[in-house]
Amino acid sequence: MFLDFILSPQNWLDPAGPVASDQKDLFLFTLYLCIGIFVIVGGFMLYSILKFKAKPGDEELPDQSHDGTQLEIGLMVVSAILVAVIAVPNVKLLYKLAEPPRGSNPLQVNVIGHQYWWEFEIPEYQIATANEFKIPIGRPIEFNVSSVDVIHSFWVPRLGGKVDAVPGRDNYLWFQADQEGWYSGQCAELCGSSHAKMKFEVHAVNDEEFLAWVEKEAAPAEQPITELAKEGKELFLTKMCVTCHAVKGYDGAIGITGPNLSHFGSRRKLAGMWVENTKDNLEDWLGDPASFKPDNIMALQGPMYIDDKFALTRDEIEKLAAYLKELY
Amino acid sequence: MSGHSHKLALPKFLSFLKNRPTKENGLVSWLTTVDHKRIGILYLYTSFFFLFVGGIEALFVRSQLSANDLEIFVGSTYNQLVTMHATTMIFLAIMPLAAAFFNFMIPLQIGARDVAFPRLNAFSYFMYLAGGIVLNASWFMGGASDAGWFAYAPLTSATYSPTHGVDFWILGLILTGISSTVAAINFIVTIINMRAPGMTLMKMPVFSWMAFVTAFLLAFALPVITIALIILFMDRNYGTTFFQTAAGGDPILWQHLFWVFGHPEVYIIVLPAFGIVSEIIPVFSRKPLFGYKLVVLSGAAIGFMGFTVWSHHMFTVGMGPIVNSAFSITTAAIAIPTGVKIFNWILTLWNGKIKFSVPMMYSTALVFLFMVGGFSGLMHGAAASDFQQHDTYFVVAHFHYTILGGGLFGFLAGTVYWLPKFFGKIMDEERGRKIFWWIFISFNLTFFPMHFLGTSGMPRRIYTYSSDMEWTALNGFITLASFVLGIALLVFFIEVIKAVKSKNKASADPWDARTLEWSIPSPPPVYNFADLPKIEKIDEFWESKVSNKPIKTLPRDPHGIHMPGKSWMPLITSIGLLIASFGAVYESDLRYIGLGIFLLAYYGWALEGEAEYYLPYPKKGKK
Ligand code: HEC
Ligand SMILES: [Cu+2]
Ligand SMILES: [Cu+2]
Repeated sequence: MFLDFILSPQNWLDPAGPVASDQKDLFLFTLYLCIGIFVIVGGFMLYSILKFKAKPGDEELPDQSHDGTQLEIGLMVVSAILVAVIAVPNVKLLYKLAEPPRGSNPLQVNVIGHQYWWEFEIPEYQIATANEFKIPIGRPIEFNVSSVDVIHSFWVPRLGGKVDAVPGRDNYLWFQADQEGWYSGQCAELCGSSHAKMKFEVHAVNDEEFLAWVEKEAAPAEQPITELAKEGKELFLTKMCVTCHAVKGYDGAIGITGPNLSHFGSRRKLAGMWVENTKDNLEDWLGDPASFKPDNIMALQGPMYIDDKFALTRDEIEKLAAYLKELY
Repeated sequence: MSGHSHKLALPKFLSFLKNRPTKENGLVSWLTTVDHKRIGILYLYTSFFFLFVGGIEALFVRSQLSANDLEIFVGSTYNQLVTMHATTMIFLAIMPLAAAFFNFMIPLQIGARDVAFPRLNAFSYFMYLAGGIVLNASWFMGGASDAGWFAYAPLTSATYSPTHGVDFWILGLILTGISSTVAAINFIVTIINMRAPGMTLMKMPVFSWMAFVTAFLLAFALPVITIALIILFMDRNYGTTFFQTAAGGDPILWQHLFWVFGHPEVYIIVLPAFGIVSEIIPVFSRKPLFGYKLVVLSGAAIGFMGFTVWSHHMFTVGMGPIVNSAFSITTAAIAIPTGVKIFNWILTLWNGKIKFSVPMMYSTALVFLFMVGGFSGLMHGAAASDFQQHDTYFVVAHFHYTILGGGLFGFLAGTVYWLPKFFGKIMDEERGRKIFWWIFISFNLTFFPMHFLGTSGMPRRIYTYSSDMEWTALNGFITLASFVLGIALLVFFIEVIKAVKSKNKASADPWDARTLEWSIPSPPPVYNFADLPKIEKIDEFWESKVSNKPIKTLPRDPHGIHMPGKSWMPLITSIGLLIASFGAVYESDLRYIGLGIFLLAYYGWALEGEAEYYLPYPKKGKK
């Protein structure tokens, strides 16, 4: 039971790509080296403690010598060598990870941190989405990471180390997934009340699936079919959701404060990856977003949550949810 | 009485200030004291209190994390707890604990009657208390800061932290910063000027040496953070934009300023503890410290190198491989002087006749625990893999092993070791041992598993996690262990207080120790040394015991024993600044009232009467 943590989807000692794998190797190299020295030095200390314990009643002074310059210099030289032994592979790896291998045709992705969600753009395909995105396996992905508000940190543990999303800066990171699958990521820099809930997922798929996804994401949003959803679409405008959310092909829905919802219905999860994107959860979210994510911007600034005049009724919530679910 | 009198006349209405307070007992005597020993005791008790507060905050944090999806302390409340736990522990508990020992022990160890500036010393204490009050007042005045103890811009800006929490935090830290800066200068001057004749720097006890190095670290590091805090306060309240990207400022500037202070801060915490351990290990091994010179030099080297590594806290801000490599290497290099210390402690044990009294148990534990923290630090120093560990629970484990394992354990050792000198009482050995094992084991059960949370991807400062992250069982275990640790520490402090109140009278030299503080009674008389010692060797007191010759002393002063006069001014100046701080938070007129009080008391400080007095000598032969 206490070993459950090994199964964590964020266990970076279970890498799924070359970057995380190199980092794991360096980590383990330094770890084993440190354990080795610890066992030697700590063992020496433990031995001294046990060996030189005073016998009861023995009041005679022990040998008082307290200098050994050569010994000390020797020990310092050994420490210096150990430091160098760590420094060399570290610096090598720092340079190796600075960019993807030559001639590997990386895919560009822009990552923008927001309190408390992630925006992802793939300029090559003119895609803008949030909290979930797909990448092709076996191809390096280059991220251009920044932030619109405070500092966040972009991190997908099983694919590679993190880089901070700093307002006013474009930070660089690359990684690559070698196996298909969902990779859990999480903001790693305290960014406010809902920092814990600023999670996201990267779905690594084969080329075919990736291109299919890209095509769908690049297309305008689906038109609603059911009556309920059609009314929801109206409400999306009249209830001012459009001031913060964009929906491709919906005139006026060009808000940028919140996530782009063009294909929201196809997302797996909701509220910073906390719950499944089901009708019930979605309705709960629309009823009270703050109960999922404390102090999130929709709850703090959305007129329907701060002013009773604009509060959503049960009925309106159902319609809005129906509409959003049909944005496939 | 001294011959010279003050020529400057006081205005009539202030004439009551002419006479220094003289009460020897009761509350007034504590409020006006300038005796370094009493100030040390004030520091000791106040830091115990804040250790308790910070501990409660830690247990609140652990409760919230004990299982997935709990909603006990959510969002901002949780962030306030985390921020205040760190701030309280570092600035109000651990640093002042070191200050308690500096105050009490430095003059005794170097054979002086007091510190160089006794009133300034009292001022340091009251400023620390004022800082603690301001920081914690925020809880009751709209909420504490929730921006983390390193308070990264722009999260701290008025836009993203609109409550007064951050303002209180800034002003509280400025006050404690003034306290520490002033204290540092006081200790530096004391150590340079007031050592007993013959005690060259290279004959000074190692604890005083580490205090000396620490004082320089404080004097150089604190101004940086103080300035950064002032700038931040201006950004928040007066429309400047140093850290605001949109207006051309740079949030990364804050990180540089913060860590230029923040890394030396680590050594500000551990070097005093190293000093304590370097006193205790020789005493209980009944041998001189191995390689005294190298221990001293390596301490100084650590202090110096501590200023060259700050960006290892910033490997992920995007500095590029050149800068990251440079800071990786400087960081790893600190392992060399640190290793020297560890080797010397072990070589001191070697061939000794070791007595495992309680102070020795904490000291040897410190060596082990600090090694664990040091090695994980070395691992963090490898930037290329630190991209993974950074900001995870691996780091949380690391700095608790260094700050508690390498710091607090030393201070616990010092508390038990010097308790006889502080209070003339000794702690119960049997119970002391039991408590040690409870603390040692629960400490490791609390913090060691955090390494595994880190490698399984748990970021620090998240107030909750979902069950599919698989961190629940381990977190539950850690929380359980942390409560045991909390209780064990509480029992330790209760035991200290019980010992102080008990009748277990300690002799002048209960441990058969080596340094000068043990040559005078426990507790020492107000004047410390009736006859000031003349020093010829390192560990003069030990040598005198071994050779059975008394320590040589200076001739007596015909006036009597020269003593510093008590004063109200340190307290009043501090109250002035305390009031001004509240005024500054609310931008109210209290600012001017507070500053007015400060200036008046400052004036009084300069002009108050008769700075010193003389006590009659005790009879020769009687200590
Ligand atoms: C003040 C701007 C604002 C308004 C108005 C607003 N939202 Fe949001 N919305 C946000 C923000 C910001 C988020 C992201 C919150 C977070 O995850 O921290 C969000 C998130 C969402 C999400 C969840 C996305 C996810 O994947 O977790 C849905 C669905 C949503 N909004 C729907 C709506 C609807 C429907 C309305 C109108 C009733 C609306 N929003 C009005 C800003 C707004
Ligand atoms: Cu965050
Ligand atoms: Cu550091």
